[in-house]
Amino acid sequence: MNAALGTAGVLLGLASALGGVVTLGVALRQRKAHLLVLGRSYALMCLLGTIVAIAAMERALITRDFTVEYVARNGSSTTPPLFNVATLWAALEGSILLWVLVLCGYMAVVVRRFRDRLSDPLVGWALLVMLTVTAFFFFLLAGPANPFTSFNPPAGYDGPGPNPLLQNHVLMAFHPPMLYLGYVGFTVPFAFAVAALVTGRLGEGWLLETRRWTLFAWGFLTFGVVLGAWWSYEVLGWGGYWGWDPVENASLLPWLTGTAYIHSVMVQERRGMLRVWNLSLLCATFSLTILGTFLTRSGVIDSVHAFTESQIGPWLLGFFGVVVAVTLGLIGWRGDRLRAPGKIDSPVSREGAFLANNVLFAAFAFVVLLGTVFPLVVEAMNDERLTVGRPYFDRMAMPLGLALLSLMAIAPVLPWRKASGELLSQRLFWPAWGGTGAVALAVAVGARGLAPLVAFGLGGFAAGAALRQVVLASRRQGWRGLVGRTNGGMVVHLGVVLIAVALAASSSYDTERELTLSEGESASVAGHRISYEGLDEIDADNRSGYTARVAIDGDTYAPALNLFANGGSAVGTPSVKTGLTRDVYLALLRIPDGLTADESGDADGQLADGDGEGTTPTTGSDATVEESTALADDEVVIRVIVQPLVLWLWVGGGVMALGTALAAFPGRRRNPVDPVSAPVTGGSPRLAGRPPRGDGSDPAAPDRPGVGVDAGAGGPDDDRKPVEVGG
Amino acid sequence: MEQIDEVAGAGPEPAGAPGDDGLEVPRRGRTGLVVSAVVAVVALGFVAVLATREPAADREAASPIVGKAAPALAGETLDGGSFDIDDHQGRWVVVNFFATWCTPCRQEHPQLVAFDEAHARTGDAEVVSVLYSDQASTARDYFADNGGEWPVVIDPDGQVALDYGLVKVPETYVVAPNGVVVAKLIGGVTREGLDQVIAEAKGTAPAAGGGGG
Amino acid sequence: MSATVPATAPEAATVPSAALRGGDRRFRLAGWVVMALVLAAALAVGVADDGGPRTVGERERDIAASVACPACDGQSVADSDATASRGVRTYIATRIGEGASDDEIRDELADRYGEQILLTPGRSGLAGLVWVLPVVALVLAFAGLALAFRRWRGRAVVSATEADRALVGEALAARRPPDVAYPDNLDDLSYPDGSAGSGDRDGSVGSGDRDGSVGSGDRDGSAGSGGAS
Repeated sequence: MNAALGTAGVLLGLASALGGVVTLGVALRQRKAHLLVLGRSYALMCLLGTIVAIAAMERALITRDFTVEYVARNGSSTTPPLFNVATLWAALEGSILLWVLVLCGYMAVVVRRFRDRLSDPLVGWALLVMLTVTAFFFFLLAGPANPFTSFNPPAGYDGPGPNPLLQNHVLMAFHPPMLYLGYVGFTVPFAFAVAALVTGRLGEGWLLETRRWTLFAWGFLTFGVVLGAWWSYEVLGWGGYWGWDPVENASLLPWLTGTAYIHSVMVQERRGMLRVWNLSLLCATFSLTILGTFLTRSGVIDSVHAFTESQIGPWLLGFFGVVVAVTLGLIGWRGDRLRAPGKIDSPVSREGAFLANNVLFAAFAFVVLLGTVFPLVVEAMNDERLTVGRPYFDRMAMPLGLALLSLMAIAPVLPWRKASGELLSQRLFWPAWGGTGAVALAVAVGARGLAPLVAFGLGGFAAGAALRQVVLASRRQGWRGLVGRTNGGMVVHLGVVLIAVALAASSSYDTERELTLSEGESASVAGHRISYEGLDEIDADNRSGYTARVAIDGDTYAPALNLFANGGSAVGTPSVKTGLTRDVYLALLRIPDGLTADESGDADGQLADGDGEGTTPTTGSDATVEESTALADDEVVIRVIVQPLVLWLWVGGGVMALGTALAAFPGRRRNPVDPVSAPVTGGSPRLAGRPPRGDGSDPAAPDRPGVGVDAGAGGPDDDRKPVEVGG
Repeated sequence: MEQIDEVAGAGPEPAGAPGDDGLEVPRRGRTGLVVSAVVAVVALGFVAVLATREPAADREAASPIVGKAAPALAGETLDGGSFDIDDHQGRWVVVNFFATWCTPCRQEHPQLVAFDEAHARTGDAEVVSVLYSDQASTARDYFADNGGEWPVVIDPDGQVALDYGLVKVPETYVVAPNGVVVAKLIGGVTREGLDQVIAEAKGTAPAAGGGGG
Repeated sequence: MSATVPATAPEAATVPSAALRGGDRRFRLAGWVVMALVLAAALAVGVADDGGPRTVGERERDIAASVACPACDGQSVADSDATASRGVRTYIATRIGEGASDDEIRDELADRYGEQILLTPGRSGLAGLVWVLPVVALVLAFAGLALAFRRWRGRAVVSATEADRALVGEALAARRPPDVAYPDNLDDLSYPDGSAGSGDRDGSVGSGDRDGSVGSGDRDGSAGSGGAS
């Protein structure tokens, strides 16, 4: 029943999406507005189909309906309820279901938002694009990645449950949905970008429509990536939070281009420039989400995170090819119409800073993409097998990161159009002292090493610049000085600084030791006293194993080694003592022989191969015994890692999310066609029915003029006075 | 007086309209088209590369020791004797890394037994196992229960495994009579598969010193 | 040329008046100098005091961090605790004890496991491209920017004429009120002339779902949309 219901939902969605594509195509071709409006019905039917399918799958999971193959392969009667619900996205087919849910949800919000403009061809084309993407993913669900195939369970069958690593931590329930809200969210601005290209309506209208969408999508993606790093840290056992794993890179790539877009779009709003570039960025962001999905689901690249290889690889790759070809074709065709007449006066200006920002982010994205696919390309050309691992990415990312930090320090105080040295000296003074103070403070507490110190200094500098903006804005506007795009953006920058500083500190000053302790024994690591107190057996429904009671400076923590019911080898659960200044991270590596008689996998944490079920991602820990290093009966091996400031990574992520919410806060309603630049002394164009104000400011705006720009958008440094130009 | 709303360069769009009020009109450039075309070529080449990749899990590890002399393999065996692969030149040697806790190793064991028995008669090939990350006593019991009359080298430090570049058990290396490794087989092996590897290697190898069969 | 636009009041309060600027500037200059000195001192301490040459343990860890665990997906031997990783770490430790150099140890491991065990590709040959291409890309990008700036600088500067201003004023006045329905046949779409509506609005046509975009209807880039085209 569930399978039938689910399949019905999928087919309904597919039919609606295809029907919508055809209807809208005809409507746009024949310029029939009444047909265009039908797009809404199709979109809502897609959503209905998705909801039915998801409800069916969740019902199957919750009732442990093993006649559905997806549940039979991934569900289990022993999985705890929360993880059982989260099993929806634990494996490939279900993750496509989640994708489609988010996509249809966004589409429904779009048709609601634009309900009065559905007959506008721009909206029509955007909806057409979204329905096409939806149709593609529904097609995947109906065919290559069908989650509702049936299965004939033998009597007494119980499924293996989701991958053990995905049952270990509650973040599993939040990280994928957040990530998808971001990832999939970029489809909306992409759809509008394509619509703008197709209709030739390349003025700023489409841009304003989608600005907030992009911000939301970006915010969710940021949050999802940070949650993913946190989950990695808490679950995987190696004490790190970012391994430049291909799946991690796949989620980072659209974030990088999305961040570039968020900044350069401000140049477009202000100066009408960079339109081709912005459109390209949006198209690239969406293409990268599809590419990322392909890389993680096709099995082409090895990864700890990767889903098992499946049939959808070729389809995703084909879709990627089509998206790239279509967008490049559109940009090539329309590109010259987009050439803006303006120019950027000086590199030392806000525009110049945004340009540099874009170059750096684009380079960063290039490096990440290159490193991720390089092994594949080299193998294709040369048959040579090589690996591009963490050290490469770390080494490349560091100078780029430092350059971006410096830009963050200077750019917020730069005026539009042109800055003078005098101006910079005045505005950068106190932020620069912030940076110097940070370096001095770091050296005073014992930090050494050029790279981290530079990072701290630049971080302090950037924080100073951001704080300066926020303080000045609040002084002028009260609480409104904290909301709106610029001020929210400054809060996001503060979050980034927190993350940068925490990154620098935790990677430069970490201490790692492997301790072999017998019961009652203790050792000292980086000033912390680690005592091993004993082993307890775990008895839970879905797993067995042992927990070690380990005291860190007197407080007990419990890293564990779990053996999951599906017979893989041992999976460790680390235990972390989180502190304001440092984290002490414990991973139980080995326990005495004889206690792990249960395992049937091989020593390296992977399901025995040859049975075609794919590999259990390995945490790299194992619990077998080597003759020469056998443990005594009461000895365990514990890995202890002490890292400073890790907590601030997560706090920084939260601050970034807060900043995004603040930035999305609707500003004072603005008349979008008000002139962007400051009023000219000759008086601004007269608007019908309004007398000019005596002080020459634009009468249309209660406070300041600005196209769709919130109060204080130019920053508290009112640099839009002509007086600033030319010094 | 400098005006903010000066506009550099352009007349009204679309470009190409006669600018008879003296404003400069930009040429309808083709940069966009060229750049798009270049990017398109790169992107589609990239797609072609990706399309022709096999899944990572299936990829044969091109082992660097294939085609070279077999690394040293010497040590104590389960029954207390000693083994040195250099003493076994002149015959095909199938070096099999295994562990008793490894399911595919257990699955392939009967195949190895069959292979060993078949070639024991002709004397041209033999099997040697290397115990990986396991206890000697367990292995002894295993062989007692499941048969197999070939030497099993204990590798307590994993040194042999490292010298052979072992990634994961089971792995099997086929060494020609002249001491050169001709093949590395990942995963479980079958008797027919081993015979085939030997036959193929004989066909292509130069006169493998006297190795009969 | 200069400040005849009255500065808005709050800004005037925070920017020092012209009379003070001279002294202010000198104070600031001194401040920058002091800052530079403090920074130099701190960095001197921070960088010089770096600790001695690498200990054996650090060397082991550095090499281990650059070698992939043969059995895992992408983790380094330093991070992974699989049996194969432990074997490699033991090997590294032994070879360090025997006096081998970092590169020798890495090469020996590559001989056994293949090039793919090294986490960073070598600098030569095709693999070296992965190091070179990003630098090349960055250089090209900045060069492109420089070219763009040069091209922009070369553009003739044009001022708006009164005729232009009049055009903009008309277009703004003719802004179509957002609640006009689209005709069924979109080819019939046209804009009303001189609607007096805008005088009654409080400017709240703003950033909601509507953008009241003038001229960015089916016509592209007509000079109507203010400064944004």
